[in-house]
Amino acid sequence: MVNVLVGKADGTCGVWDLSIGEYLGCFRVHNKAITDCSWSHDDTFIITASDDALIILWEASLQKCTKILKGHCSSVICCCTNGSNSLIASGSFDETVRLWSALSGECTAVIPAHADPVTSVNFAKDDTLLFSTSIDGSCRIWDVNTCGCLYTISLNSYKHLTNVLFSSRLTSVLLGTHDGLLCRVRLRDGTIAPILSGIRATEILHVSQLEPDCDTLVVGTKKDQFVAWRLRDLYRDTSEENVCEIKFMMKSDQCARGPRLFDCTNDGCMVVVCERHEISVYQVSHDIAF
Amino acid sequence: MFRLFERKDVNRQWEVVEDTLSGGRTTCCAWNRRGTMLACGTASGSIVIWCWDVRAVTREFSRSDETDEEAAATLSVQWSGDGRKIVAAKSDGKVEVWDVLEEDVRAVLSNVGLCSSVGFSAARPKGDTLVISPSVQRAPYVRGTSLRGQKEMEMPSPHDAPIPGFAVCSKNGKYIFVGDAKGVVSVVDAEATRLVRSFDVPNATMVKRLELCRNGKHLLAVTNAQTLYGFDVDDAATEASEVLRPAREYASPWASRLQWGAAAYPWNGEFVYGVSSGAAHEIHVWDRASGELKCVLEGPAEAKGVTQLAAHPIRDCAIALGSNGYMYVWSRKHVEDWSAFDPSFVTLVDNNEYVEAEDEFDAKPPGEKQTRRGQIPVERLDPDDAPDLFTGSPNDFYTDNSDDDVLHALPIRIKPDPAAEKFAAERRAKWDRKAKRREERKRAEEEASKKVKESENKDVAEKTMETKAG
Repeated sequence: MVNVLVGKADGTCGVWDLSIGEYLGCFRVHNKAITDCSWSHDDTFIITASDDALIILWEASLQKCTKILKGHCSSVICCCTNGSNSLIASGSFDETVRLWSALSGECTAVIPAHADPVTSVNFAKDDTLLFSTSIDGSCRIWDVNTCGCLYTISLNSYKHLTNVLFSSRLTSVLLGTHDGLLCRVRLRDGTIAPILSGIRATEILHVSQLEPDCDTLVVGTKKDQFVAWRLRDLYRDTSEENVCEIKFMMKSDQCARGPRLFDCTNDGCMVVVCERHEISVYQVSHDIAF
Repeated sequence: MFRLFERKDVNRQWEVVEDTLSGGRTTCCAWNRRGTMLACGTASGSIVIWCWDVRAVTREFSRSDETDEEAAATLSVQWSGDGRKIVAAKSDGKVEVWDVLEEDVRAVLSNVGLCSSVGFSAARPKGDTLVISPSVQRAPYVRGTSLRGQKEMEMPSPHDAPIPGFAVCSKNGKYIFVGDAKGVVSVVDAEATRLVRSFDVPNATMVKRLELCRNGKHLLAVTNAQTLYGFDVDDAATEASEVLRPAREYASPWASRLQWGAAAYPWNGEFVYGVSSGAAHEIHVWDRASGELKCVLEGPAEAKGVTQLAAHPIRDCAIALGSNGYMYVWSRKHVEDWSAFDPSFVTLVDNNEYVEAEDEFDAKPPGEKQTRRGQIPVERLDPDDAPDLFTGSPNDFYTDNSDDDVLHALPIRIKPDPAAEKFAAERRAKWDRKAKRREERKRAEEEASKKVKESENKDVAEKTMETKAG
């Protein structure tokens, strides 16, 4: 059962079942656009964050709204759960990162994280660390238990950081910036190595990786391109033959258990990367506007 | 993993009571392997599991076949090494083995008798063998968890007759340390069930509890003596007699004349914390290596004494279980590390005289590169030098990474909040009303425009009629 969650700009959130290729339904409670949506790690609930400063938890099966997390002062830009699904972290336009308890729906901590809107949050693999990036060009690492800042990475010129991913060994952090630079920062000594600069001079909007076998990165850019890179080859400078642009491909029937990566384009295509490294694009007939 | 980034000089001693938790009248508690869950046994016989990330109760296990009057209080709880089972000793002499995920009691051993502690043997992390320390008549013994046909291997004791005691497994499961009711701590080889060595704890005639440090290197004997006695453990020693070595005593001139009630090591064994068995909530802190008393911490007096000290396996915090059934969370004071926010911040202890340079406020001539504070050097990555970013085995931050199948967290069960559903319903009603109003307005407009058109047509028709007539 492969399900994909799609959040739209009119505040609805739709679920697609990929194995049948069917639209399962949509939920709508937000009255402004949805900025981020994600599944919990065991796929039992869905979180949607939106511009109306609310984060809503949904039951994955019943399309019932389980909890509403109120507290942010302005639009929530990103949200994610920790590995054991007990905590939800959200970063917002009001420059704070809030930690919520999924059990009770209360805000357990407000972290005054950055000096500019927070663009992405992510938990480390064992749930003890929280990463947050922001437009002010810094990426901070927080201890989840004490909510204290442990480390700050700032790039030398204040580029807007849009995304953060971390390596499984926690030796380095992958940061995506707004002007097309993907940086790898080695955490021990703080050295930065740019990996991928200027994918055809476009802006990186979202970086994701295939979870189980993490050597492919898919980068979504603003110009409706999705570029998949094999990490091993990333170290060579921008070799063109590794860039595979995905625009339209046939629907694949061989989706493996669950895609962890999906992205939407502006012209109504949904790109899904399945676990078996097959990248398929579904032309969606419903009106999707992002 | 968080320890990668912690400052090296942080003071790990517990300092303040951070929180008070209560979920039923708690009688005993135990951390799971990574400290993500806390299992508490209550006086009503149920086992409550707390999720430590959010400090909330996630599960409560209670026997459905027992009524409230029959339910016996829980005397001790322990997790199995893989986190899937909990064993609880009850005050009616029964021992229950619960399966954590299924929330069902796997086995109830009814003929055990009153025990001071029951734990899983560390040698088989799957939770198959129990180490039972009865309170009366028998020496500690090892048996399996299934109900029938169980061989019970008693721990050999250095005395002539079997004597009740307190048994604790060493970290690798090869040895079992037994502190018995005559004040002797013995080392037993777990596989061969052979007594290796025994030590007389000085001035003690009864060993109440044995506490093993989380790193497996230290053992503390809480006895009826006026001092706590510490041992050093080396369970990988080739010479079996070198496994346990007496280290030092921990004495406190401020302790009341009562005996020591509970003691614990923190996760790294840096200190020794002891509580005397009176009504005072006072924790004495010693430096483990030197034996010197560092301070006495005072907690809320309403606790009326501390029955158990359980140190967190990874973090610098602990639970002090009060006699009133509440759990007090002790942890170190959180000091904000300002240089973590910006590498160029330096925490000053005293006022520093700052001498301005001559050209401090001069405008820098154009063309000179301005280095920003805290700039991090950018290096070009050499492809041959690039270690695998995402592939490769993860760092072993935890020793249990090699054990497959360890359960660290329970599936979250979120109760739907009726207020949320109401909010959603209100919003939907509002949208429906707006949509309806919009429809009505559209219809009204259409009718109005139709009417206008009709009247126009009529005018046009009349005009043509007139022109025709005229």
